[in-house]
Amino acid sequence: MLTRTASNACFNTKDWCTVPFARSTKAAKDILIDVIYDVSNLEVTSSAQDAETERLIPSLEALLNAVAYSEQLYAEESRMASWHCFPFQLDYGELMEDELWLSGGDFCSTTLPAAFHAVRIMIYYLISKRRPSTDMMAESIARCASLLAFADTLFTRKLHDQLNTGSCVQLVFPLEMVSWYSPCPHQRQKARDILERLGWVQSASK
Amino acid sequence: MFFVHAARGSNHVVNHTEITYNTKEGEFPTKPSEQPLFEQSMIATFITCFSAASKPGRANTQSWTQYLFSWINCSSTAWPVRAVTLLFYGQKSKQDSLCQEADKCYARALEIQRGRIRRHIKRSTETEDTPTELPSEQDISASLMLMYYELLSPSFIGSWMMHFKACCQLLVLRGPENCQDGPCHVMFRSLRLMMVSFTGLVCDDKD
Repeated sequence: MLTRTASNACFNTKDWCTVPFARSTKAAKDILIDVIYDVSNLEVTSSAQDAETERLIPSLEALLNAVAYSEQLYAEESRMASWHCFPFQLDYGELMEDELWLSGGDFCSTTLPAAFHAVRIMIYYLISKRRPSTDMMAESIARCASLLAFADTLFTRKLHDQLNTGSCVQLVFPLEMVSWYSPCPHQRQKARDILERLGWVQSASK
Repeated sequence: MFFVHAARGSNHVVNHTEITYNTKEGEFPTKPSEQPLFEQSMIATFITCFSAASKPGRANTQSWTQYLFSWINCSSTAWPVRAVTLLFYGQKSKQDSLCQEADKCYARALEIQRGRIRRHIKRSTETEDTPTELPSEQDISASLMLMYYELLSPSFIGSWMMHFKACCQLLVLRGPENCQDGPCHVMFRSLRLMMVSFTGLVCDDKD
């Protein structure tokens, strides 16, 4: 069995997933966090045997659907614009405001487009490992490239010195996903290099 | 395999002498406050830099930072809020004297918060006959502020985790049914996101 930490997280229970939202509607961010917890709760083993594949693939596909729903909800939230939403596409770096990289240190509004990429990369990896798919790998590489370019822009704009620790962490999560789950070794290394530049060093173990 | 933050906050937060803001001019919250102007200015700086793009003149309604002005007016949360906002302002403006003053505020806030947490721990281990007093919004927000202090100026690598765990445990003691609205709901959503970001996550199912 694999080691997980999120499954032991104190908010990773059914009660904490539903009761606090009884009087409000979950936002796109909340649904995406549910997905991440759900992934961590999957009983994934290193085995790629048929039984394991049959059991896991439908669950992972359902989680991909949940990510798609969260993305759709985020698009609606952006249109309503009762509060600030970041643009969906991360690929137009030169058009974006510095705020996209620098704000959000209160952990109330993560850079959600980056988180969507990160969660998809993670799920694609888990699916591809059991049911290899060229399309899925290609999409994963494209999303990883998008995240790396996004993180790179922080340095080309010389914003890294202004980054507060909270905002920094919001970049760290997507970069960690790239460093772990990119199908491409050089992308994994590049993610690790950027993490080091941000002051995050790789620990040997959990 | 996971990543830990190894850089001291004060080393990389600021690299220039002037105070700069992430958002456009005029986007500070405009809620009137009886606090001294310098405290309002420090809180406004913190909100502007930490809260994702509020609308002009308004604090982000999705963020707990909207409650900072009320927390600074409350005797039990004033010290932690003062410590964090003063430290951040001091770091941004590169004024060591402000950072030193923030250290004093932090020491005082820490002492008060330790007493509170001790009370909650004692109560949680007492008999069932003892009436339960739930952690208040102030208890949780004080720990949250202390956590940000350690994020900005770590006593040692990962020192903020103590306050993070304290925050989460106080919320757990409060219970999900008491986090459905208001500041506790917003803080819960924020800490839930942090939990996902920081707990490393998911699989060692890697090559």
